Amino acid sequence: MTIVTREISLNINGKAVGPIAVPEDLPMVEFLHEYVGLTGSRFGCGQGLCRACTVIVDEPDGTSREMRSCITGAQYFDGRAIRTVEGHASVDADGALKLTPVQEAFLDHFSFQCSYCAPGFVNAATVLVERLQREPIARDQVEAVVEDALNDHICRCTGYVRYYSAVRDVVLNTPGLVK
Amino acid sequence: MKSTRRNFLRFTVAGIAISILPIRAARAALFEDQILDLPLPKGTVQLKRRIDGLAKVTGSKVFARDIRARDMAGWPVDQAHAFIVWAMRADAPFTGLDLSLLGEDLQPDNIVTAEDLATATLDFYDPWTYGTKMLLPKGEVPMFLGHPLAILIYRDFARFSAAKRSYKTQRDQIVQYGETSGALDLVPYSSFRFVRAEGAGGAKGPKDLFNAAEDGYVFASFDTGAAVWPQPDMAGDAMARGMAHADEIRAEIASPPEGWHVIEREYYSPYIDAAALEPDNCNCWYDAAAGKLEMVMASQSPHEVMTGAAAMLDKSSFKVTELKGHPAYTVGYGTKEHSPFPFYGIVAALFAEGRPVRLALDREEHFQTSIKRHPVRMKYRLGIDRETLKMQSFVADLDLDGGGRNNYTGPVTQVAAGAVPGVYYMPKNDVAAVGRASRAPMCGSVRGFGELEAQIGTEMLIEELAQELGVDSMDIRLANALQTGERNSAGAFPLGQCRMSEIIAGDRAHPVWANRDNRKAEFEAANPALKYGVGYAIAKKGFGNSNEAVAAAITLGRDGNLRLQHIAVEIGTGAISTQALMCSRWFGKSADLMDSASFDWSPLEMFATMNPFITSPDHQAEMQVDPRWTPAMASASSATNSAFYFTHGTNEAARLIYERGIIPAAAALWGVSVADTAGATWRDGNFTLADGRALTLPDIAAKAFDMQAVTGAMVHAFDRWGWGEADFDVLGQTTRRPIDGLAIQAGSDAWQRIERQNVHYNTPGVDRATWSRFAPISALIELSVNRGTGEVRILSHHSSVDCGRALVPEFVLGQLEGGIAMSVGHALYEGMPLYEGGPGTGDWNFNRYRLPRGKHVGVWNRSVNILPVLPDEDIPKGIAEVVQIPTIPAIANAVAHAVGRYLRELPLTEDKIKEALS
Repeated sequence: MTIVTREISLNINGKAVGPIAVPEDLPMVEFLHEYVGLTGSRFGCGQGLCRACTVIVDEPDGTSREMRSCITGAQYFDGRAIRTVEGHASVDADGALKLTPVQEAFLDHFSFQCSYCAPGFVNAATVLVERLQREPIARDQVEAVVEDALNDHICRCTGYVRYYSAVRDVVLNTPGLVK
Repeated sequence: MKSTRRNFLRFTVAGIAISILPIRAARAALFEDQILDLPLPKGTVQLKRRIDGLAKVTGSKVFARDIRARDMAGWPVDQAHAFIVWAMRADAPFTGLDLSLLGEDLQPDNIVTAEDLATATLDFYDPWTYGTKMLLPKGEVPMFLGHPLAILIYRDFARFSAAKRSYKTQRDQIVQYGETSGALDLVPYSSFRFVRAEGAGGAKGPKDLFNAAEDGYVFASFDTGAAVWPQPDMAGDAMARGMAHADEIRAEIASPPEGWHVIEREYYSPYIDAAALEPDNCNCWYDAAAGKLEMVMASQSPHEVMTGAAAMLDKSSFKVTELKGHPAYTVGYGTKEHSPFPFYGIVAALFAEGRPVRLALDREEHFQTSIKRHPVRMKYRLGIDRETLKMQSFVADLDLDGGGRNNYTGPVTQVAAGAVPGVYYMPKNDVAAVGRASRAPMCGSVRGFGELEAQIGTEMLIEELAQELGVDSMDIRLANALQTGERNSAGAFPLGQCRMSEIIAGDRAHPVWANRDNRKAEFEAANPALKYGVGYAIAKKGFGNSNEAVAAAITLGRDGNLRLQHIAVEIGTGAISTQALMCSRWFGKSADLMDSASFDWSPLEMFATMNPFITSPDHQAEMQVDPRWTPAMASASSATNSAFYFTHGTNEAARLIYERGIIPAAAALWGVSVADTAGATWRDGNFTLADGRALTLPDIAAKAFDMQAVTGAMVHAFDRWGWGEADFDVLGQTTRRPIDGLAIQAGSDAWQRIERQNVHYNTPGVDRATWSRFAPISALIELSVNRGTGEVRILSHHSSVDCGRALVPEFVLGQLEGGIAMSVGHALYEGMPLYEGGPGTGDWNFNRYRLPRGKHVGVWNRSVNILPVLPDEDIPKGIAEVVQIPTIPAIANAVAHAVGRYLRELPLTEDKIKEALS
């Protein structure tokens, strides 16, 4: 069996990456881990079921969506822009790390324990917040919408309570997300 | 292990120097980074955020799985990768591998087989706990499904990844077997029999007729394969007398006295994978020229891994004189404690020709080989007085399947047997438990550790009993809840207060319980497609394993900088945040630097000689004369031991610096006597005298350094249901402390070992007292069952818990919430076949193994009643395991209430519920 490679180029967390020659059947999560050194997107199941490997795909039209990197080949991402958990926080003019509201809320709520699932929850919650910025919801729908948005993500430590309540608070406290 | 002092200087085993360094200190590329978000806010004892939170929420490399060779200081940059070839059959001899099927390009660069291990004299260091045949030799039948056969090593990731995928599609052809011969006949691992016959003095009486704590356990022999218990003889030795009492107890319940009601039921708790999201992994590098082996590991018990590795390597032909371990943050719920997995990483490195080797399992492999929860079949018979509702006698038979490697099956069997009576006082009990061996992937330490499984049956039995008697099950619980000062199932007196009655009484008044029949009628009228049920259960679990060892060191810098080193491994529970926070009480601020899973023992010069669980009184008496000896060196991060035991180490180190450094220095600065500082407290980060004069920690630290007072303390402590204690002469003043090892710094960086005197340890055998320290918790569940699909939805959950002093309430609640989710999985979804068709065949993943999601656990409707701390029992109680126990039987009881029928074989899947509804 010969390994067939093909070059890919993509944008990860705002930075151009590639061209890099990678095997045609290489899963994206392995590309992130072994070729670009980003290990924050965790490998949990390899079946796209636990969602610890979730990354965000940013579409040209300004929308964003979750993508499971363990069941999606690296080649799929050629020419695309993605965000991983490492790319959410920014550094301000003083050099201080500035977290996103989702990350801040997860810390304030003690949302995670071991944190292996945290990257997936950060990305899912971020996609939700960005969707609600475009499509606000009624206040009484918030809990159901949060549950729908996060339900596919598995956490074995926390019982989900602190993730869900953190995202609920972000949605309720961010102007423009609820009608 | 030898017990000569020379061999144990500097925490060495068999001449191999061991050091355990936190992953943060070893990383190369990110060496300057601070993984921990320190310092914490000063002058507060409330934790605002967990100190590892920032690193975790930004995806930093905190897991061993994240680390590659290039991240490690001094390692070669190129990373090799390995995978294990596992047996998928256990009924025929393994005859070899046909790796030609991988193709010429994907041949491994190195292969490790059993024959290679034999040549190098390598195998598990302790056959009593891991067995033998680390890799199966050709010609032998696998001991179990998933028995490792060979390790294939690749120098580059691309070929490794392609080869592994190719292997997984062709493994039935690659792994070759001979003629079918049937599975091996394996001898059971363990047996424990808890016999107790109450004496004339009753529950609080001075003497039982027989009990495990004072008379010992009864053990079976397995000479013929089956368990054979000793012959009963009331005039014989302890085990014979125990059997005589057991026979009497069984005879009585078979022909119960007038007025008794006897219920007999059988329950089953399934074979479960804890499904820790981080699959097993490690990354090891062997530098043959330097005789050095380093390993990045995901382990709850790094000290055990390192001492075990040293023992294994000492017998081998490989030259290793230095062994460095780098434990990372991890998660395992017990399954990464006492695991054989890290030893495969070591072996891979030894054969990788100097390349660092990463051995990281995928989920199918993790299912195939990781430690599982023991499946337990419980046959329970309970006799109760119909009039008084007082329990009279409990007879139980437990059958545990430990799988193909003996890994904590003995202790789990013991713990399960002791836990059968649950939270209730039992005048007589005879619990016979056997831990069998089989061809299933091994079982071992998993959250709840036997107490969970045994109490599922107990709490379901109580509910069924109440139904048979036509009484409120709360009345039975209240009539029998163990009271303070009463003996437990082992006949020992638990330490601390028993507050189960308080919990049950409160829960009985909860509207969900009190109005359950009305609520059911109303709910089902409003929701014709659903059935409604309420279930309740209460459980207790010990915290600590009866032989806990902790070490901690605090060093105060002249500038007031505070560094805490601790053996605690961060497994998600918040242990290191908590330990850092504990410094606030003594220094007005949390630790500025926290080194977890890290400890240089050398200043203490201590050593241990044997497994503390099997230490004899004579051995202890002989050894404790040596002031450097201790029964155990370091506990794993497990057994719910963080809150109480690990905190003890931190507190004792801090206390010494406070009393012998902070106080005298502050007194000198204030110009008052030490006695006059009695009212001084830390306020907003300043040490403040009653008259308002305040000092900063740097001021005090500088003075302490000038005075050469105590500025650093390193302690070791051991608990066997009571801390070992000794006298220590600290700077000319003798003080008795609940520790057994001490070194101090007095105004310099140099450690001075303080020789202990008059040490006292509780006698071996006290550990038979059966989880003398425990925490109780209840679960009140409200759920719905879909009449058509059998789907269960949790509508609400309420718990009452006695956690003692909650050091960080958010962590207590987080453990409780997580425990509930795991319970939902255990009760409703999780479970696997043990043998063929089970995880050992390497094709299980989350598509077949259902785990609860947010919608399944009732995220939005929870309540918790944390019992207020008692003034005379202001201690933190470990609760990380007990929180999972009562929700499981509470769900089963609620399903029974909903569908009108008891289902006794967990998990209660939709199919089983549909069948019950039909």
